[in-house]
Amino acid sequence: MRTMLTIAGLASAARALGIVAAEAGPVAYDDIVNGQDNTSEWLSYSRTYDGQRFVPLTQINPTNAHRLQPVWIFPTGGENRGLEATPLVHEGVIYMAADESRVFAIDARTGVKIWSYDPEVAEEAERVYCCGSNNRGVALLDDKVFVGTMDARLVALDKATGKVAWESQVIDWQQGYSITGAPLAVKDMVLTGVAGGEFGIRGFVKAYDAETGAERWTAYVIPGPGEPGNDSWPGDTWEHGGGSTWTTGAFDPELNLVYWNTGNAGPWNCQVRKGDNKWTAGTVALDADSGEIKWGFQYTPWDCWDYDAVSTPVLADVAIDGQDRKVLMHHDKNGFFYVLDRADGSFIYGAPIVPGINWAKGLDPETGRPIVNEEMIAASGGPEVAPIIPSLEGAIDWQPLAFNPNTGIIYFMSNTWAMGYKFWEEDKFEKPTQGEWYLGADYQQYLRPDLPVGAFVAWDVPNQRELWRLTNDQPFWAGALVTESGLVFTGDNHGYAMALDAHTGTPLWRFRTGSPIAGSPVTYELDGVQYVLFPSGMGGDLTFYYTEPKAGNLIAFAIDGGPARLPVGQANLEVIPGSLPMVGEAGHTLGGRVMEGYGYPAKEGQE
Amino acid sequence: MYPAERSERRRALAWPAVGLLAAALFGVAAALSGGPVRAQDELTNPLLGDPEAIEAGENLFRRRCVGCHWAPKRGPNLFESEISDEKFLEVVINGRKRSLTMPPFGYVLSPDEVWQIHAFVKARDRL
Repeated sequence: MRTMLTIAGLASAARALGIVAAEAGPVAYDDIVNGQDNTSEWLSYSRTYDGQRFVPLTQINPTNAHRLQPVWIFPTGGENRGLEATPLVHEGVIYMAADESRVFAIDARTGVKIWSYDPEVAEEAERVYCCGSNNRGVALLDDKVFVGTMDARLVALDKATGKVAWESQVIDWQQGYSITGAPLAVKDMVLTGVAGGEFGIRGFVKAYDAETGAERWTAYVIPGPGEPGNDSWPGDTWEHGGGSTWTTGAFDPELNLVYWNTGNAGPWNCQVRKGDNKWTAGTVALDADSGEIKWGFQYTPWDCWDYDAVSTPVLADVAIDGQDRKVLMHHDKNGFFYVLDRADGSFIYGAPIVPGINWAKGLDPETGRPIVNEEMIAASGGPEVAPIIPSLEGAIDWQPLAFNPNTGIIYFMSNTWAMGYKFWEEDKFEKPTQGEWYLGADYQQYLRPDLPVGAFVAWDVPNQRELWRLTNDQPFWAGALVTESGLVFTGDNHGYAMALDAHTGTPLWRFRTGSPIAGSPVTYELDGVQYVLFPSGMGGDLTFYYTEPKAGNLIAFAIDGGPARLPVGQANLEVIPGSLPMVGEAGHTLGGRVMEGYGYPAKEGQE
Repeated sequence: MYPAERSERRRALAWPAVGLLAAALFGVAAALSGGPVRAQDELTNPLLGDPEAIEAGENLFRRRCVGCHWAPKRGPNLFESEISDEKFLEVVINGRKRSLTMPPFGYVLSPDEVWQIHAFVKARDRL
């Protein structure tokens, strides 16, 4: 008997994969803690809590990287605002976030969709987005997937089905808040920050019970009256001081500290908030159980340049000046690279990465406090101050760094572009009451004629020197990944996914994906094959300067394209119900006018 | 003068229907008279040139528009806009999806407030 392979049959085959996923086990907190050698998975935003994005895989290496070929492409569709996320991988399933806070579960071997979730954020919420509808990833814990939404909800989905298990309105988005960062699952909690530094928010990190969604603690990164550091804000400027917490933190289970980086102080016009403005543009170390701020460090106190400090901190144990130190490493919008002691927040060293930094003349060698160049601070109602180096797009913005603990080398993007800042007269702006723009300033981005705008840098942490730098005629906007075999993966605005020799920066492989790489690559091994996933799709701040090309694709690569063939016929097709019935199928004719003689007569008694 | 309170959202949302109804009525009248809707049949901004409206409009522009329409300029430069008054009103109230999304401001801006913003951008070359 001839079996007809119907489209419905293919759909149920695809759903069968979902059933397989339903039998997948939970993600345990200990799995993330001990995830360093787990080469088949990527369980948390930075893979491991230390933020290193280092993977001990060697199948793809400098001698064969040029043979990387695509295995499959998964289009996330939607408004194509871009993919800024880091995909997670657990038991052969990829969990990927896209624009509009959508989430996809994708079979990691075949690129077939298992489920998708759309929180249906209202269009009107867009008025509190500074920078597009972005999402940098999900979190996994137990049987759940967690995502933050552009209208400031935290949603817990059932990992097997994508159905909502619980959701919480973290805060009223109409006051200027969104969530664009990946949540962080820690112990039995899920943590989220918030975005909105341009809309007069007061930034915080909030912890929820992962199982029930009950609130556990809230850590405001801007202290309230009576709290240490509140006096670094004049009057009540702390209420709308910014300090957005819009990326993901790192965690040290032994010290029990969650490290979260904080955004710019608000408004941009710093003349109305003279003071250090703690703890904006810095790092706070939070007790993981209570959210209490144990220490804070500001990279840019009295931030007059929108220098968000938000790229996820990287934790490591490194020997510096002959001493073993527990460090926290950070490259900042402000152009410097910092190494701090992560136990107490003390400054170890800092170094300029961007050539020609001019908002500061250097850093105090003891405290790391910038020696500010007051000429680069604009005056209210005054002329444009330009060129300020770096610009508010930063040397680096939110993009992740990658660190190889075996070599002590850290890798990150570091663009050189500049800006002009013009502060409004102070009677031209006021504190927001409904999440309105709270800037008090105009800005203009500039390219510098003396330097290529894009750079990707390798920095030798223990030896305190730059190893190499790869320049680009376009700014970089992607995260970094490093593997044990000596490869660094990143991507550029031309859309090249690339593998670089970790020792020299030489590009060993490039693939033109068709749209800027604005997210972060990951790598894992399944069935003996090492895959590298690249999100490709322009979004976020890139939309301030570029309109095309857009894509929104997640692409898997492997040596020679991976396994010999993928299962035939699985194409992620979504069939419109009722649009393609069989000839004569009951209830699907236009009124019994199927013609005879074609071998498929309409059955008697049916229309 | 101030952004519509949430209780006024329904009123704000009703205005696109009223505006479209008005346009439709003009359209019907034009059709009955045997021609297309002419530009002079569209709504025009009654607050153009009004100094109080311009001042209020500047305040609203700086609070609601500046981050997309000035710095950075992701949306069109409103000071150089050539679309009709009615089209301006309609786009701001209802929003528009193109390469980037213009959110619907009808939830927080009344039509008069949109006319104020319009009066401001028409009165100036730049912020």
